[in-house]
Amino acid sequence: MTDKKEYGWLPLSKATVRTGIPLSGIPGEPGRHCPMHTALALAKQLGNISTLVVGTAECGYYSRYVMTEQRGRNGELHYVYELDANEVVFGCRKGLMEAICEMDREGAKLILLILTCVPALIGEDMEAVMQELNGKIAAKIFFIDGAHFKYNGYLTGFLDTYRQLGEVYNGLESRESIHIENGQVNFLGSLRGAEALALKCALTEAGYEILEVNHQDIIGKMAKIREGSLTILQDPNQGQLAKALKKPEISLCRSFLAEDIRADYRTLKEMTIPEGKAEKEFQLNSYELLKEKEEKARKELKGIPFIITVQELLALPIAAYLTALGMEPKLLGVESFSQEDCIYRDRILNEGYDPYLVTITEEKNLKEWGKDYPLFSIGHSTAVLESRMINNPQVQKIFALVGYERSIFLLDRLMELAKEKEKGGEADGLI
Amino acid sequence: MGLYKYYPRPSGRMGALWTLATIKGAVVLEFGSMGHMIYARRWLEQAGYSKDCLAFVTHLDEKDIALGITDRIEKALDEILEKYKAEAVFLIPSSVPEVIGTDMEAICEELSYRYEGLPVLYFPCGSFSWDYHKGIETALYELCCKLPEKALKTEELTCNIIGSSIDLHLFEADAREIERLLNGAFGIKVSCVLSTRADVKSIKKLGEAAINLVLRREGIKAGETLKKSFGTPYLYGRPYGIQGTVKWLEQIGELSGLTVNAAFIVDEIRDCSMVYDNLKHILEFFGERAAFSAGGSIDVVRGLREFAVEELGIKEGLFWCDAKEDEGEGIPYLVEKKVLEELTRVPSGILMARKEYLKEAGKNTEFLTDRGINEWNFNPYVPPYVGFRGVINLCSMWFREME
Repeated sequence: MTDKKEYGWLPLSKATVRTGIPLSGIPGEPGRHCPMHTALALAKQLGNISTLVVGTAECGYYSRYVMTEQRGRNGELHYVYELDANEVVFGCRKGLMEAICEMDREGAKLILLILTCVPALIGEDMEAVMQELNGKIAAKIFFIDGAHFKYNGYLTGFLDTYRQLGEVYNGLESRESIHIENGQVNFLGSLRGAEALALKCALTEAGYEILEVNHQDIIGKMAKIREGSLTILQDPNQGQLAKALKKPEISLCRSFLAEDIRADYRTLKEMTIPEGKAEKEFQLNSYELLKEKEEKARKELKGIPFIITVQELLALPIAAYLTALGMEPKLLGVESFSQEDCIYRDRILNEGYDPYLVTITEEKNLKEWGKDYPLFSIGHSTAVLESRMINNPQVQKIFALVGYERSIFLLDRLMELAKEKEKGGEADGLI
Repeated sequence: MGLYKYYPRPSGRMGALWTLATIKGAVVLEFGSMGHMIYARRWLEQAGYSKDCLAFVTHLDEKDIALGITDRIEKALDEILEKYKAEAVFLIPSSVPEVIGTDMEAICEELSYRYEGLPVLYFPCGSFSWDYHKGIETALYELCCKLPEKALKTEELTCNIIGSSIDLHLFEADAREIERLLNGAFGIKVSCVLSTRADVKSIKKLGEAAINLVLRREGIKAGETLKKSFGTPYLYGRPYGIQGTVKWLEQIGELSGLTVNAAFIVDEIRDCSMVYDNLKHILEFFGERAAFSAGGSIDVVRGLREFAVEELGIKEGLFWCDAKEDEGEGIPYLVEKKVLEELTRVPSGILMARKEYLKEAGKNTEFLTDRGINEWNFNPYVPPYVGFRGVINLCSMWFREME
């Protein structure tokens, strides 16, 4: 690699689990929100969750950018608990418990406590607070640690809120009420597109009930979700929830290569359909179509350098996929590197590439660095021409799809961009 | 502090940042997690400061906290100064270094040696018991202490406005009206509006002005400092109502030794008279049914009360301020909980306060005293609250409400 090194970005080869991912530069534009932001946004989307932001005036005041109203559409309460100078030193347990009791009295049924930097720094023992309140209030409470200094950004706000929700509902009822062997499949994410519909039909025909769990109705489905016997994960943000449910799990979201998707479907079939009952392979035509597209992509996309600025939880799987098709990964925007990413790291390194891992907090450095490459970008970046990027709405559309269909749409779009590039225009992808 | 159903009072750190980040030519660097600065930048952008604002944050991680590493500040500053031309650097703490006790002052001193010739100032505003009033006060004071250079008074009379801040509704319009009044009544030009229309150069020249006008009590310390350093007299107050504005102009005349342009005042009062007289007329009939209430920053509440109650004779309603140290003269300090209680029995009539309180009380949500969190200052030419044009604006608002 002949890339400049002065930005201090992390080459993928140096990444291990819990390696700190460097920022692209001094946070300016766009910067990166803290987990409180996403936890509040998610709670607002999910509905039926009251929230209590615990921290300094900064957190409480600006939390109103997300929770604009102190009462939600279903009567949820969105309050703030501000620590005073005394509580910063001696802890806020007493005041916090009083605040939670007051929310309980006012009718909050499920309260999410969002701890921000200072309560996390002083080590407030939230488990103890919850234990002490157990039996004294009717509301269910759960908390997330949203201290920004522990993370590069906001993703934890999504992941932990989902995980803690799963934990809350797992601990609610006695195990006897759960029907382990019933025919319900939990689908975490949205079932959109033709292939998702076909998957739904196939499972329904095989006698399974599908419980589709997405942002809009998750709280209403939390009790029911525990009755599922299998979890299919499509939305990577719900990965921690899938783990908290402690059910057999198949992740469809991290597979892009035709062979990998086929393997996922085969596993799913083995788990859900008795042997010999369904002879036909699921979506064989789509598999073959994707294989064709992959062959074509190997020719048309070969050697094209790219960056990924969105879908951070899937950045490594996507990069590994495109690398396998001959594209050249240059930079992947991620907040952290997880155990699950290791397999994709190895795949990328084995292809002979060593892209940078950075948390994108500003674009000036990115722009300067990228001058030397005619980059494509998956996700918006001011460092790349619009004609060379799959913009955010398109990315959202593509990643709402399932399996072969998702990969087909992704490759089609990339090949369209490559054709545009061939037609001529700018010398490189940079603005 | 404790539980807030709407939002807590902004902290001292926030007050300082709001004051400093509007100054052109300065880089503001916060040592802390980056989440806060993203929100702060949005707040500044909504106030109209997206282009000039050079506010950055270092971010920090667990290792920095555990080991007390502060390298990020230096690295950040190197990177920023490579890309942006800065005439001064303002270093502010966030809540995290305040808890762990990072010696920001010492770091600032070290940085001053590193960037010779570039003022690198530290603003000690991190205390957890400080609210934004104290933050604004500290920022104004430190700026006036450390940046102004020795200067001769300008030949043409000039003045500075001290204490125009983005926390107040119509801050920009109020500053413009004050400039207009000074020009019309005395021919005085305003050289620096600290800090909503200020740059590093104009702050350095603060000592050249003949007079300083302090618009809020948070600016008194700064005014005193400038008086001590440059012998510049200052006048503290905000001009509300016809009587209040005339009195304020007379005080400036006394302080500067200039004669007020009487013709200007006569013309201005004539412009106000239609709505002013009509409001007074309506009050004669319906005055008994309506009271005037207001809550927020003490200088605004006091000014509005003087105009509405003392000058126009509207019945006195509920008044409160939002800082303990400001209470007095019949204006108590009320915490959010108490305000919400009091609002249940607020007398009918006009209420001017924060948007949430107006909503809670079922009142007109346009009668604001503070800038709301979702307020956008797209139009800088809206009418003010202060001065003669403020009289026209307030009287029309109140007239419509009472009609």
